[in-house]
Amino acid sequence: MPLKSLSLQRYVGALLLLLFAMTISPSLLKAETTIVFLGDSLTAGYGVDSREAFPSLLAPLLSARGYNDVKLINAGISGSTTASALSRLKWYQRVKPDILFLALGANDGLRGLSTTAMATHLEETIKLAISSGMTIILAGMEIPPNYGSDYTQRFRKVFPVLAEKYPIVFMPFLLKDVAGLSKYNQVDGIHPNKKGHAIVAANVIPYVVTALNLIDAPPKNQN
Amino acid sequence: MTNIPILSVSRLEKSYPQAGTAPLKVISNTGFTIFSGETIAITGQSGSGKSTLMALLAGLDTPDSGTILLKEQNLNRMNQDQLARFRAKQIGVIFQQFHLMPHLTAMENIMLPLEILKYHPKKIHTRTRRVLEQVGLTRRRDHLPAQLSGGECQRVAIARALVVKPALLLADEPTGNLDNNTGEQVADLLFDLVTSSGMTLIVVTHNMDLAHRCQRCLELKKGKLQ
Amino acid sequence: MNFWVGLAFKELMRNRRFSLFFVLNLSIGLVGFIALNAFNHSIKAHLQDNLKEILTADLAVYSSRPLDKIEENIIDRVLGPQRHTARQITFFSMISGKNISRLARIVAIDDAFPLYGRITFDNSPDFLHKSPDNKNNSLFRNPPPLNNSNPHPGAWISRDLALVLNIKKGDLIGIGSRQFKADAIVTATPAGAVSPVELAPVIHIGTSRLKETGLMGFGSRTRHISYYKLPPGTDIVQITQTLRNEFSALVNGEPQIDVYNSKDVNQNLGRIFGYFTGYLGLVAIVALFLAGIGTAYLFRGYLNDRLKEMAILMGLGAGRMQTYGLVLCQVIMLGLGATLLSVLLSVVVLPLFPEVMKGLIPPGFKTVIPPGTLGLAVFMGTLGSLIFCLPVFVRIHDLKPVVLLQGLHTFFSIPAAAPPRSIWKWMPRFHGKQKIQLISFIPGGLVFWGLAMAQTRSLERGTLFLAGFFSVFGIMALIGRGLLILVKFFSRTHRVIAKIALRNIFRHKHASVSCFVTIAMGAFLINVIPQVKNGIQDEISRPQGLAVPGFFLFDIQPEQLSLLKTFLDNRKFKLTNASPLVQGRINSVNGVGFYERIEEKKTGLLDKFKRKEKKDARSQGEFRRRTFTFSWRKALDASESMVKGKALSNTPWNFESDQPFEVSLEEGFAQRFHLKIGDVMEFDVQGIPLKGRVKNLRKVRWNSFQPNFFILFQKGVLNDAPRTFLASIPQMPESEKMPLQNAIIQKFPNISVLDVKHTVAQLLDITQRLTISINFMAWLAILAGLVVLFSIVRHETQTRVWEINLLKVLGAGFSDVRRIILFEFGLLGTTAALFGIVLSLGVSYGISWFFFGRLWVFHFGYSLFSLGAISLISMATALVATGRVIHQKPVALLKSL
Repeated sequence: MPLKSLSLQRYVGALLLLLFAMTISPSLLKAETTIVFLGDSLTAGYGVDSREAFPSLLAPLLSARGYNDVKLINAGISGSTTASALSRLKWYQRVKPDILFLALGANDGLRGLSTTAMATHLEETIKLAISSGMTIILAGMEIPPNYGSDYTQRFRKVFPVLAEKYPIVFMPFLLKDVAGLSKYNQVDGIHPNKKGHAIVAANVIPYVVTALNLIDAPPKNQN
Repeated sequence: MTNIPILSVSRLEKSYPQAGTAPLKVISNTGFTIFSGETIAITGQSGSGKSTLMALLAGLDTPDSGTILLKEQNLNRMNQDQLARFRAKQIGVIFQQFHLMPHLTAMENIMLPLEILKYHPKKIHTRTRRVLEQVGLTRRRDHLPAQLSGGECQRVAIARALVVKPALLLADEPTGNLDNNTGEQVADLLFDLVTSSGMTLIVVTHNMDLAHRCQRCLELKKGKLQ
Repeated sequence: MNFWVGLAFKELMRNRRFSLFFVLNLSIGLVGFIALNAFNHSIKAHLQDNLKEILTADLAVYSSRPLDKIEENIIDRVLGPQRHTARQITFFSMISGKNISRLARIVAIDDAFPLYGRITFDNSPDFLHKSPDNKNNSLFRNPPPLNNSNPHPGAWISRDLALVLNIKKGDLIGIGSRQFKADAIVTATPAGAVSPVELAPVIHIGTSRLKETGLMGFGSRTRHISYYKLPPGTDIVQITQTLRNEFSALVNGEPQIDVYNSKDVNQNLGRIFGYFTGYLGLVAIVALFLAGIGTAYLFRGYLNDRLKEMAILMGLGAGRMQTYGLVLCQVIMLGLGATLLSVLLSVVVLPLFPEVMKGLIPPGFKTVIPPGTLGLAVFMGTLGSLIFCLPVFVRIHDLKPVVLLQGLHTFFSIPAAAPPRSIWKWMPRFHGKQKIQLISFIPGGLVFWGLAMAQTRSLERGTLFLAGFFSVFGIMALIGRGLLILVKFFSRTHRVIAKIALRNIFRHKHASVSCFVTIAMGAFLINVIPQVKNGIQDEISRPQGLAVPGFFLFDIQPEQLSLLKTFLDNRKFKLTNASPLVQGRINSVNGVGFYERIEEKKTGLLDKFKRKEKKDARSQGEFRRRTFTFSWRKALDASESMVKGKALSNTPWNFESDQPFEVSLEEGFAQRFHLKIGDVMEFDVQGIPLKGRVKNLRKVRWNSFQPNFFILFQKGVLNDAPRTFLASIPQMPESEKMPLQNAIIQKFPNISVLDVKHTVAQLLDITQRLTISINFMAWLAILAGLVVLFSIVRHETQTRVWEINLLKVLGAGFSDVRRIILFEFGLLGTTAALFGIVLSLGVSYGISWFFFGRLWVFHFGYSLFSLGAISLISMATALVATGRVIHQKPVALLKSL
């Protein structure tokens, strides 16, 4: 379906690749590894160009590590909460992601929503992903201290608890080295700027590589 | 009556542009001389050019060519304001329709030319009072024209023309708007005043009775004096 | 000289009736002008105050951190030492009441806050049991101090918060690591914020207590706001710009600090306010033109009356200058009288207006007459009227006493024989003497030009208005001349009345055309105003029947929608306007990257003039690379309408189709991003590229506060895309709000419930006032226009006096004469009004398009009304003005000649 809107060149390319793959081996029919980044404005890259958002920045980093056949889908929606995670994952099931990068929760926290509800939403999403055979990277989140220590602590705990409960790759804090530093954030003080996204990407890459290795998609060095 | 020519007109021409056709010649090659103290009647049928001649003589209009010398002054050489001054001093005009200032009383109307000429207030009052007396309107001097009869209005107009003691008095159908009786009374008054003061008078009229009261009678026919 | 002044005065006194009428007439025009200007001024000031109260300051500086020294220095330098400052720090936090913790917005304020407006408190001890819409809330003279040193520092909590946390006055609230005591319940605050909706209930604490909460550590997300009150007379807009420039010069890239002034309080309101100011300028100019026409007409009439006397004076030897002097003297005397009267009237009467017009004009509204306006009125009444009458004066130039011999009526009463030099006469052709007349218009034109520019405060607008009005003038003259041919044709009728009346019209060519043009201009002007008004009013006012919702619900998950509906149904509430929301980006337009494209356009030659503005917009973050919200709907909402292009197709778009799907854009959005119909836009919806083509532009009435979108897609495109829903719940009694909000949050914790309230109410109140004022001004202008029309028709009929008389002499009965007059002026008035209205439609559309963002609404009823009114006024005035003549005996008239 999305082929129609791709450029002709890519269309032909994809077609050739498909024909080529079919002649060699049916088991290699699915050559690409697909990663869906299910997140909020931090993932969508609010305030920066979509090419500057960390999921896009991962492509060259992965390339450099020899992962050339990784398709990155940015499924970030600004303002979204964990409540939307499950239904959105269902939509992305049609592209059969290999890896789910789950980075939701910040908006739940900013809006002071119940942390138990948040845990439930995330858990349901993780369960669905696991049952669909996806490898999961869960990105932890923290919220600014002005929300009060009681709430911020409860919030922070949700992520490691889930990480213990399920077989997932866990990144403790998505905005590590970025949050709270004005030079890496936009004026609103909450969304990373271009530089911030680069740092996030650099911090995310090891977890993605881990996940890729888990699904047995070793680097294919072209030369 | 002397033999000093007070008004001499020569080769006077006046035509009015007509839409579409050639200009209509109203006065053509007209000339005459009037001596001081004369009373002249200019008669003629409607459209003979009486009013035009009157307008030219009064300096109210300018001829196409020819000269009008009043007291040896060429009217045609003066600009509008000089002419106005000169007219105020030397020419008194009496209109068929009186043309009084509607918002001024009889006396104020009479005073008006003197005031325009900036006479001393004292002089204005004595002169005005005398003229009012002469025309017999002393008792009605504070009435507005609307409150006066036609004959009274014309008497105010005569008084207003006489008050500056002009060299030349022009009257355009002075009785034309009045009934016979009143007309006669006004004419009597006019001629009495003119003769007693030795003024020169030109009356433009087609009323033959009025014309015959003048010493001389000029008839205007197709723009020429006969 | 004394004599002439005396004569002038005497004449005026003897013509007392005329003088009085004249002075009254002129002063009505002037009072109208003063009133318009005074209202203009007062309403602006009033609204300015209102906006200030919403912002609580003249100027506010927002930042996400405390201002540093350099920044404080800039403020010090730009704002000067005479400023008053109030500080506020605001942030969200989870606060706890009795076993409940809830998100709240903490607003830490100092003693100086608010600089404008006031905080209202509920001082009833049992506030929880009182009906919340109880109007008896009084203001604490001395609100409990926030910065006291009690073991529990005070806090002022909002009613909502009190309900949510289940606390009363005196109870304790935990904010961070500190306990605060609820000292007072706030019922109303000056908004102090730019957002019309409140995300969470508010609690006020003192800035000095902030530290003790322990919430201000590393990574805390706070908003620091400094409010400034500046000495009156400061150019706030200019200062705002300077501050913005200085702040943006500090950093490379996005400025860290936002500066707002009261005009920025609400972008929509700012735009509306701009329209309003422009509209007021327009009304004032129109009033000015009407007054000008009226003045010229009055003087023309006056001069006509004086001509005979001037001829007599000249016949008696008065010089031209003296005659001019006499009239000049009278004009000045009359003008002065009118000015004095009008100034007196305005000073005495205008302050009473708000009392008299209660309900019609904003409450608490004080009329102030700006001194400049009084000056302008004096100028208009004396010197101005002289200048406007210059073309009429030129008539004296042509006056020769010889008319006295030819019969005076030839000069003033029978235009056919010696047409009165109408002030419009030079329009179709000018040569010879008419050149002088043409030149005589120049000073008047220049004065108008100057006044137009002064009123609009813009060279461009003033010039445009002047040019526009003079073109209309010319067009009218041409139409009038054209119509004469028609009249001539139709005069070959056998119906005597019509025949005489029609013949009158075309034989009095100049008089008729000038009458036609003037009435048409009047009709034109009094129609332009309401038509422009209709558009603006429609924009400003809240659309009828579209009630402002009570709540906005965000983030409704697709599977929650039906649950939410049932949930609300059970509670007898309705879920309205549920609209799907899909987020995405715009990648490119016609193959060019979206943001590159804007950068490109920005430096384009066309936008050179707007560059400053653009730069400003950019510094305000308008062009931040952002995600957009897309939606789709079955049919357009009542609050939006298509203005250009064709409706989106009703058949769902097929993903297999190689055609782009159809897109509808909001017109302001299209304008801002330089998009037009036919543009192909490439979107990125959740990682899937999609191509759409712009099919139409919509106008959205944002003031309706209905869910609306900049970008709508054809059906089918987004059906399966991850989406949430936005919906609203209609307004409800205040007492039901909190329980409902709580119930929704309990059941659907992820759904944001936004209470549309205080600020919106305040904004709507302001727009309401604007609407009322706009209406009021329109009617004032119309009234002034009708007065002018009356004097025009009155003047024109007076030139017919001689003919009426003649008709009667010839044996026409009173009723015949009356019918002829009615026919003649009815025809003139109606056709002139008709053409004036038709032309006004075009011009008002143009004005709306050029100045007011294409707001234009045609109200058939009003135009019809004005057509009727003008025709009736023409006929009635003609009848009244000639009535006296009609009933006089012909003989009396003959005598009066």
